[in-house]
Amino acid sequence: MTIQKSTTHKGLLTAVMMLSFTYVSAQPSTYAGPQSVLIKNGLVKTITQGDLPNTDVYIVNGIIQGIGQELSAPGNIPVIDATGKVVMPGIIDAHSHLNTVSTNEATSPVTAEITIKESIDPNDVAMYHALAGGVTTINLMHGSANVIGARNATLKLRYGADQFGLQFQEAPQTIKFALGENPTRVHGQGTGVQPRTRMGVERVIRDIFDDAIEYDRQRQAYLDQKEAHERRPNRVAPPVPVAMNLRLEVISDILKGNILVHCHSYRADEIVMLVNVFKEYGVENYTFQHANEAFKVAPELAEAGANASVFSDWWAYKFEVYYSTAYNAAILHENGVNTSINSDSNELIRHLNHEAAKVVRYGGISADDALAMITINPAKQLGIDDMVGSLEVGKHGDISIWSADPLSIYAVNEMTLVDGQVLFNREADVADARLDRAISYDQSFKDLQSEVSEAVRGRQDDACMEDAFILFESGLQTEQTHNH
Amino acid sequence: MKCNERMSGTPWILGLILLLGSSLTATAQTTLPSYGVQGVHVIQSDGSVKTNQTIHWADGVIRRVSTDETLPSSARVLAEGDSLLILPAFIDGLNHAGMPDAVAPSSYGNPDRPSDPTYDRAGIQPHRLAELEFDVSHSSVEAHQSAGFGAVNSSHQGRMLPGQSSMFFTQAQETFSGYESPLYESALGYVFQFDGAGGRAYPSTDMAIMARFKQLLYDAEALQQHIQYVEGSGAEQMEAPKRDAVLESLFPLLNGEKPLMASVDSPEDAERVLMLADEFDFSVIFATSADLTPIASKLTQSATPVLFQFDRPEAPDWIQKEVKETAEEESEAQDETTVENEEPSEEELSEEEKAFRTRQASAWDAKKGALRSMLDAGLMIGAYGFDGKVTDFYEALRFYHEQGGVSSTELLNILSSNTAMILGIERLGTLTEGSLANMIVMRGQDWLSEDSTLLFTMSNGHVITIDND
Repeated sequence: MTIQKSTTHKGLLTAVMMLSFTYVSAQPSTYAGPQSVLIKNGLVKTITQGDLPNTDVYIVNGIIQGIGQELSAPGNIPVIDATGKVVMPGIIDAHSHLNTVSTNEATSPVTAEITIKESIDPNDVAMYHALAGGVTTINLMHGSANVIGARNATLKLRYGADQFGLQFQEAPQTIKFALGENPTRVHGQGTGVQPRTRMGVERVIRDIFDDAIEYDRQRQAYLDQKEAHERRPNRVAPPVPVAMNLRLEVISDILKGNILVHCHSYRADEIVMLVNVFKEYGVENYTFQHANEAFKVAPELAEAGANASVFSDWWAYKFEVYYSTAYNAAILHENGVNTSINSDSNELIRHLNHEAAKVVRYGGISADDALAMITINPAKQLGIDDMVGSLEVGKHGDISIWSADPLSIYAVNEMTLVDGQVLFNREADVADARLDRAISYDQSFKDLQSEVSEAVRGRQDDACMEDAFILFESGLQTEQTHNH
Repeated sequence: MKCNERMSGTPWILGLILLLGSSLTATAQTTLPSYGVQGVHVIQSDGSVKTNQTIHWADGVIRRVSTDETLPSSARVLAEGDSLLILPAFIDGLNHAGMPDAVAPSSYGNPDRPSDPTYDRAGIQPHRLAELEFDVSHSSVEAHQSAGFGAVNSSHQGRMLPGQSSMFFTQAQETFSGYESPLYESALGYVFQFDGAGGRAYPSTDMAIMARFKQLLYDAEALQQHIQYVEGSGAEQMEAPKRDAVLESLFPLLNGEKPLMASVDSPEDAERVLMLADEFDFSVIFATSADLTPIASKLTQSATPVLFQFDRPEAPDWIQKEVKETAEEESEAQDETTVENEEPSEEELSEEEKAFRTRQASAWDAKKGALRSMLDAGLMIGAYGFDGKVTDFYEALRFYHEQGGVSSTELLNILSSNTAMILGIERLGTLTEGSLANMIVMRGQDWLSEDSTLLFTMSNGHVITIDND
């Protein structure tokens, strides 16, 4: 008996070797560019225009061209029968570190010159896992080690695309800020540089803002005189060059409103501090991430036009986040703060529908408002609500199709489309969804099993302050585990 | 290990040369020997073979390649006979051979301001020229000689920007006198790698290395502009620029005069380097053992060459085991004395592991075919990174030939003329009149065969006899 099994293996190897460098592909469908498709007869949750029963959604070249009944398409356009299913926009996660190569550059309190767009791993199977949960867009963020971290990358989960193809090119630039324990622990306690306290955090922000204003003035004066000198070299003296400063250029863009701030925060006092600083410097349209005490200052946030992106019921993993409530999102929402529910976790991202449902369970908000918290609300926070986050003609064909109401514990995401292409189909789900190019030729089966086990083990059970955010080990910086 | 035609000489110290002035170097000229080989097979890097050839070289230059058996009376006949093959010596396109060990990051300690470490602490040392510390007597250079490398492009070890590489002959130390140097060409390019400062110092991640690199070039750009203004007219009142040897060493890169020699582990890293090249308009030479086929179109469009490292990859354990068992079964089948019905031990596999193996077998095939794939994609491929293990090196070459589908001619091409062209040193890598006398002599029918023996490596015309005992 066993000989037959062995023969099978050897036969397999021999067959593969005979193919001579051809791949035996078992990967799922990979992104091939915008597609056309007709989704028929589903319960369409538009998010912005109510629920439409027995409705079709027609996507042409990745863009929604029609929403209505009895829509037709040319014969060559694939049709998805959504009878009995719920069709909704793809979920948007406003806080993720899903597929970063590195998450934290924790050696400087301000690292605005860095961009996560240069730290995207396009081969991570975690993207497929997120697609399976109906997620189509994420805010791929820098960690919270620095007061001002790197610029983030808004990604579409175009599984199989390269690091450039994953980027949501039309999305505005966002950047990570962080208040409280993480930056003070890393820099103040870790290396003895400012900030050591929350007061220091504010000082760091004000100082770099002031530096950027002065830099902007000097740089512009230099460029103006340089241009004048080049135009009239005999009449205008050459200027002393002022080098382009990437860090201050980015800060200057924040002050000019070209970059949206997403700020890691917990306590009400630090949240109000940043609101006041931003008001003073004219920074608008920003989002507080985590913001577990934001409910205490919800009216102030609403007045400032600030957004909040929070967990539904996750706290007490370190000292500054012991005080929170599962009513946080609901209170913020009721006070008029645009609020989203995020994952900040490669596991939570796979069931953000459940996280949204908890806001209904605890806070008693409407189901529609809860779904908005994982679709159009995060889209607004990322500045992409004119393209995604709801099902409307002219928006992107980013869609998830559910077996039942997505807020039901029994609902299962059956299909996820990005730009009109089906990138997750539960019926055609593969056991090993890794991309061919992500397969290691020398990784053992045992090591892969450990890796998978780590990836799907659920919430981090060590999310507490004792062993949170271990930054430096044996004097050498190691790759840091992001810890909220 | 070897013997050389000159057994005396003084170690060269280029730093001293620089201090004392170049006029001293003229006092220490040595006469390079005149040699010849007769009746040998000459294999050019393009694979063409000519039999019964005579090659004469003198003063480090090939003077004649012909069927004429007559050699000048002053030439010493090194070898003769139709059992000998003569090929271009190999060129190592990028290495640390002859260079001191890297300084461990921990030895620097942690800077007071981690965000703003010194250039050295950050691993930003593009001003370092390899010839200032190259030691031709280093065992790594000897290993290169023993493997058939006549020249090596060496650079300092380090981190993000460890220095500029220079091309050296591998001729033995004993062949020098006075302040002579094995240096052939200085400062071929800037070595770059995604290797952070280490410890509590910026930059520590790839994304920060990208940003730091950009800022360096912005600063260099401003400094260069300042210097030009001051040296020009109309700037009589202008303050003097703050000179900075590190930034000034980057001017040739900024001006597109020298390439960045970027060591990368993946197509994604290579794409990131190309982003830098696009922004600052410089050329790149990649050094990698990864398969860059996925970005081949970008590389061909930008005429970006690749130096490939000949490591011998190991198959997954389960494939090695199966290959071994298959070979044993075939052997037993041919052996009439083998006892029938002797069943090999079997292992139970889950369906999951079977599926895993199917995909891993494909990945292993892709690994074996990486070089072939890049060649087929039209990439210009050279060689780099010989690690000093001669036997392993030839095993790796045979691996890519036998299992990777790369011909021996292509391999020779990669190891010689392609690498020379990539580095812009076209007098190396070919056996033609006027070329530099860098050659190897082997005994055997096929230079890549396990049965062939390397007898001599000629570097800059000097003969290194390989001890094969």
